[in-house]
Amino acid sequence: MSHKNLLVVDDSATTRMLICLTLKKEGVYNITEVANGQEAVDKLGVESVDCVLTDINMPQMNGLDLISYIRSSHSEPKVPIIIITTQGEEASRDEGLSKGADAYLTKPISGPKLVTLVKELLQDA
Amino acid sequence: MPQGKETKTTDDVEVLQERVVQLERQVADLEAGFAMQATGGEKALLDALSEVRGRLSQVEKENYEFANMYVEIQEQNEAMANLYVASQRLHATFDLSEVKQIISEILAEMVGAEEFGLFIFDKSKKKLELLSGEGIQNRLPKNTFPTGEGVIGDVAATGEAFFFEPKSDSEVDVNLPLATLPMKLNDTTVGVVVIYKLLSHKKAFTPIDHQILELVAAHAASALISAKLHGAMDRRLKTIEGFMQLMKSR
Repeated sequence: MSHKNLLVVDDSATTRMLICLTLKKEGVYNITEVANGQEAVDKLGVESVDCVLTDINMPQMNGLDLISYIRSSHSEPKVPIIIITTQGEEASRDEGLSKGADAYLTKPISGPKLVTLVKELLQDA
Repeated sequence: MPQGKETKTTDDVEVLQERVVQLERQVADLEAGFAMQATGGEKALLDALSEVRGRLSQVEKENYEFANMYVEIQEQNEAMANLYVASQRLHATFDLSEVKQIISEILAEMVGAEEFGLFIFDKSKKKLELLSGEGIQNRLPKNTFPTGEGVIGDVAATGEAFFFEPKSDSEVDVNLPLATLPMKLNDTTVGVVVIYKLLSHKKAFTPIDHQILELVAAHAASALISAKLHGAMDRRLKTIEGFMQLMKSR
């Protein structure tokens, strides 16, 4: 099975480390991590990415703007996007999904839930 | 689903369950009757069937046990991953502001705390001073807390952690912290970690949260004190270097 490229976008190095540790255990992902939306845009310009996992509240460019950018500039193939945030309100969830995210997870992260979701989205993609 | 339809479905399920019990009884009766009339070869087949059923039930039981073990191992793995990340991050730097930031990240993003504070004990003033925190400005306008007063003061004085975990909304007391943990260094309490409120979608602490909080209580003190000492040492070193350069230039 070929390795899939994941892009983890979060301004918290602690969360990035936890996400990377959780997914690296699966042994099938190459993971790149960046601290905000702008850095993610830069990475997307030079690297091929199979799935994006992003926080919402971040400096420079937030997660929602990043999703809008990806959906407007990368039409095919559609890159799955997972929002991982502390915002658990229904309105935030609706906004994230309406911008084009495929899934919405709240922090604290559940490792098994995250692994299952990434697998599902990459199978469907 | 509308309430009427829900009741109808529940009734249907009950009727079907009764029918299944009846059919199982009929099968058992038929088998018992067949066993009475069975000849040698048929009896051997019935014995084999009974053995297969016994084995199947054993395998089902083992499967159930394995499934439970799998869930347990998954939970342990998750706890270990969380604890590894928390401890790794707490000791990743000697920069005081970064250590404070990391503790905040652990409390907010790994435990799910929305309102929390990190207090350091100031012996000379006999007060707990707020070092960092989120969402507690309204609770503590002066950023200090006298030791020996209230839950936080008690925890600072006794060194015993305090958890208030309401079972229902009626038990919630917004003024009472949900968790107050002493930060200790060599059995001496040097500060406290206080959590007032969890994120809206998080209802209570999980077993993993308790483990992370215990780790923070045990390691945050040494991380903070090390960073403070390193900062002080760095300042002194710069002063000495400046003095040496001054001497050389003369």
